[in-house]
Amino acid sequence: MVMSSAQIKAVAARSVRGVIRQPQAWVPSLAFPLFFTALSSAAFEKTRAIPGFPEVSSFVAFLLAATILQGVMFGSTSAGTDVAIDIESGFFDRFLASPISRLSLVFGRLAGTVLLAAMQALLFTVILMCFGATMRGGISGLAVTLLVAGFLGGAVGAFAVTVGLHTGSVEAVNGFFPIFFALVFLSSAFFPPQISGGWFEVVASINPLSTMVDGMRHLHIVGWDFAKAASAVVVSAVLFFVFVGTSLVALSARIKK
Amino acid sequence: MSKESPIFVENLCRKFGSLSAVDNINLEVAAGQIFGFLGPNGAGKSTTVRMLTTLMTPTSGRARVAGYDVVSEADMVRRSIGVALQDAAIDPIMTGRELLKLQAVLHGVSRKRSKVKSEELLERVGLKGASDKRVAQYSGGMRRRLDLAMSLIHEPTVLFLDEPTTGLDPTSRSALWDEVRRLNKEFGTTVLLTTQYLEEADQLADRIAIIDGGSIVREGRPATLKEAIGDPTIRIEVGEKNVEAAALALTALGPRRPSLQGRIALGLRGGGENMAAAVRALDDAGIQIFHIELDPPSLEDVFAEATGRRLEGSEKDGHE
Amino acid sequence: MMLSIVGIAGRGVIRTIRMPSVLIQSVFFPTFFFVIYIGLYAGVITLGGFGTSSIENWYVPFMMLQGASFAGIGVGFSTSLDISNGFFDRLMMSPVSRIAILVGSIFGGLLRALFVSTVVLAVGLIFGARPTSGIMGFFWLYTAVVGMCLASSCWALGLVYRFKDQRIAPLFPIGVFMALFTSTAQVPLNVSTGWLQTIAQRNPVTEVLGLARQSFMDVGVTSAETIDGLIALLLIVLSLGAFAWSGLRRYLG
Ligand SMILES: Nc1ncnc2c1ncn2[C@@H]1O[C@H](COP(=O)(O)OP(=O)(O)O)[C@@H](O)[C@H]1O
Ligand SMILES: [Mg+2]
Repeated sequence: MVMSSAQIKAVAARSVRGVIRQPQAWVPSLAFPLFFTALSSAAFEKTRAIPGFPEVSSFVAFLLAATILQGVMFGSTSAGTDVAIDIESGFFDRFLASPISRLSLVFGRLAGTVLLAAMQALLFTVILMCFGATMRGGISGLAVTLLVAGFLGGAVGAFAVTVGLHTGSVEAVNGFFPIFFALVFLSSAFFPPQISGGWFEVVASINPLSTMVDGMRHLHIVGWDFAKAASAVVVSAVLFFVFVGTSLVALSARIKK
Repeated sequence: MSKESPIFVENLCRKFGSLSAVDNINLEVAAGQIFGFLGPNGAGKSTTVRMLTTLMTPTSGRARVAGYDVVSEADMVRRSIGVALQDAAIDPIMTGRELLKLQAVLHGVSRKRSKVKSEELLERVGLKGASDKRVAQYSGGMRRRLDLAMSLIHEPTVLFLDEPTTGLDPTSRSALWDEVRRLNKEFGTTVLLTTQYLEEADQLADRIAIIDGGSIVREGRPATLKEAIGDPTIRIEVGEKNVEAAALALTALGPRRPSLQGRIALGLRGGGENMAAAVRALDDAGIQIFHIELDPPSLEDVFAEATGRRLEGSEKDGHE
Repeated sequence: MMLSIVGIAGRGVIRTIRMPSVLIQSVFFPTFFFVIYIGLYAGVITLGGFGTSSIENWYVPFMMLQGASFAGIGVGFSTSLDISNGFFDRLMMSPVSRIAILVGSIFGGLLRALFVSTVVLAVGLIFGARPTSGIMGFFWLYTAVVGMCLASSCWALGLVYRFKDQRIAPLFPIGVFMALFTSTAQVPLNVSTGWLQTIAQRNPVTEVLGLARQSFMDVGVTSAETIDGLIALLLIVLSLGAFAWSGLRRYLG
C-alpha cells in the first residue's frame, strides 16, 4: 500500500481544521499556560535572588521553556482524542474502508499535531518576548525550540493516538491528562530543582522532560550551545519515534480486529 | 361557571422571544375529569403544562389549579398536584424506592405514611421486584411507571401527565392507560394528559382540547366533536399519479380531507349510501381502485378539519 | 423544611458514594498538588516573610481551601446534570421552599469538602506540616474550609440557574482558580510582585487565607487576623449566596 503525500496532507488538513473549529479544545491550551506563566512570574520574581538561581533577566525568561512545554503537552492530546472520537462515531471505519493508506491515517494526524505544536511554541515565544523573555541563542536557538516543540507535540500526540486506537475511548485518552500534568510539574520546568533540593531534585533529574527544558532554556537565557541543543532534540526525537512506533503497532492491531 | 374547577385557564400566553408557544389559551377542566390535550409536536402542550405546574411563569394571562393561582399561590398549587413530565425526570443513580422516598419527603408526607404508600404504589405500577435496582437499569416503560408512582405519593387531587406514553410499546401503553383510568375512578383524581396520539385521547379522555401552533382549535367531548364532523371518511387508494384525477372525479360527492400519499380521502356526503356512487365515478374516469374503506368520523378527521393537516403519529392509516 | 433539606442533601451523599470517581478526583488533585508544591517550591521559603519556615505549613491550609472550593463546584456539576435530565424540575415542582432546595444542594458539597480537606490535612501532617495553635487554629481553618465551599457552590449554582446549560460548566473551575490563585495562595504579599501583588492586596481570598493559615503560622491565632478573615469570608459568602439565590429566583423566568 503506497502512502502518498496528498493523502497525508488531506488527513493532516482535516485534523488541523478539527482543532481550529473546536476553540474549547485549544483555547485552554493557549490561555492556561500563559495565565500560569503570568501568575508564576509575578509570584516568584523575587526568587531569582536566591543563591543558585540561574543568571536570568526575568522570571518570564526562565519560564519560556516551561510555557512551551506545558502548552504543547496539553494541546497535543487532541490528536488522540480525535482518533477516539472517530472510532466511537464510526468515522474511522469509513476511513479504513476507503482506499487511503493506513499509514497516512496516523502520519497525517501526527503531521497536523507537529505543525500545531511548533506554531504554538512560536506564538508563546513571541508573546513572552514582549514581556521580558529572551532568545539568546538567536535564530538557531528559535529553530531548535520549534523543533523540540514539534517532536514533543508529535510524541504526545502519538502516545494519545496509541491510547485512542487501543481503547477507542475519549475518556481513556483524557484520563492520561493528569499524568502529563504530573510529568511537567515534576521536571525542572517551573523552578530550578537544585534550589528545591530533596526528593524533588532527584525526581526532576531523571525526568526526560527536564533534559528538554534545560536544553531549550539554555538557548533562551544563555546563548547557543550545541551540546545543550542536541540533548533536547535527541530526547524529544527519541520520544517521538518510540511513540510513533507504538501508534503503528496499535493501528495494525485495530485493523486486524 | 365557578372558579372552583380544578383547572381554570384564562387568556394564557407564553412567548419565547418572538415565538408565541402558547397563544391565548382558555380552558376549564371539571373535577374528576380526564382531560386530553391533543396536539402535534411543538404545539405548545409541554409549555402549557409547565405553566400550570408552576415550572414556568406565563407571559400573560392567568391560570388557577386546584383553586390557587399558579403564580401568586405557586406553593399551594405545588401541594395539590402530581406531575409526570414528558421525559421521565428521574435520577438514574438512585433506586426506585429511594426516589419514591425522596419525593415523599419533598411533599412533606410523614414517614409512616410514605412507607405504606410506597409499597402500595410500587405494587400498583408493577415495580415491586425492581424497586431496589438503580433506575439506570430500568426500561423506558418502567421509568414512566415509576414516574407515575412518584407523582402520586402525596395523593394529589390534580394530576398532570405530559405525553405519558410517547415512545412506549403498545403493551406498556395500555397498562398505563388502565392505571390512569383506575386512579380516576377510585380516587376521583382530575387528570390532564397531553398526547400526540389520537387513539389515546379518544380512549382515555372525557373531554379533549386540540392544540395547534399554540392555540386551541377545538374543544369538547370526543363524541360531540366527531358528530360535528358529520359525514364519514371514505379513503380510496388509487396510486400516486391518479390522485388529482380522482379528486376531480369525486368533487361532487363531498369535501376533500387530508390523506396519505397515493390515496384520496373525502367526507362522503350521505355516508355509506353514496359509496357506490364514488366507485362509479372513479370507474367512469378510468381510475383503478386498489383499496377502499369507509370510516365513521374520527378524531383524525376532527383534527384534519380544524387544522387542514393530518396529525403525525395518528393511528388510522399511520402504518404504511 | 429540615426534612426536605436532609432529603435533598441525602441524595447528594448517595450520589457521591455511588460515583466514587468524582470523590477520588476531588481528593486526588489537592493532595497531588500539595505534594508537588512542597517539593517544587521548597526553596522559596528561604526568601522569608512567610510567617513560617516550613513550606508544608505554608501550603497545607491553601490546599485544603482549594480542595474545599473544588468540592463546592461539584454541586454545580450535579445540579446542571439534574437540570438536563429534568430532575431539577421535580424539585421545583415540589412545595419545598426554594431556600431548602439551595441549602440542600449545597449540603452534599459541604460534606465532600470536609472529607477532602481532612484528607489533605492528614497528608500534610504526614509530610511534616506542624500545627502551631491548637483547637482555635483548627476551628478557624475549618471555618474557612466551610466558607470557601459555600462560596464556590454558590458561584457554580448561580451560573447554572441562570444559564441552565451544561456548556457553562467550564466556567466553574476557571472562576475558582482565578479567585484562589490571584491571592496569597503561593507567596505572601511581600514576596509577590507587579499585578499579582496589586490584586492579591485587594482579593478577599487573601484575608480568608490569613484566617485559615493561623493554624500553621508561627504567631498563631491573632484577633486582628481572625476578624479580617471573617469579614472577608462573610463578604464572599453573602455576595455569592445572593448571586445563587437571585439566579434560582430567576430560574422560572
Ligand atoms: N425554553 C424554550 N425556549 C424557546 N423555545 C421553546 C422553549 N420551550 C419550548 N419552546 C418552543 O415552543 C414551542 C412549543 O413547545 P412545546 O410546548 O414543548 O410543544 P409540545 O410539548 O406540544 O411538543 C415549540 O416551538 C418549541 O420549540
Ligand atoms: Mg412536549
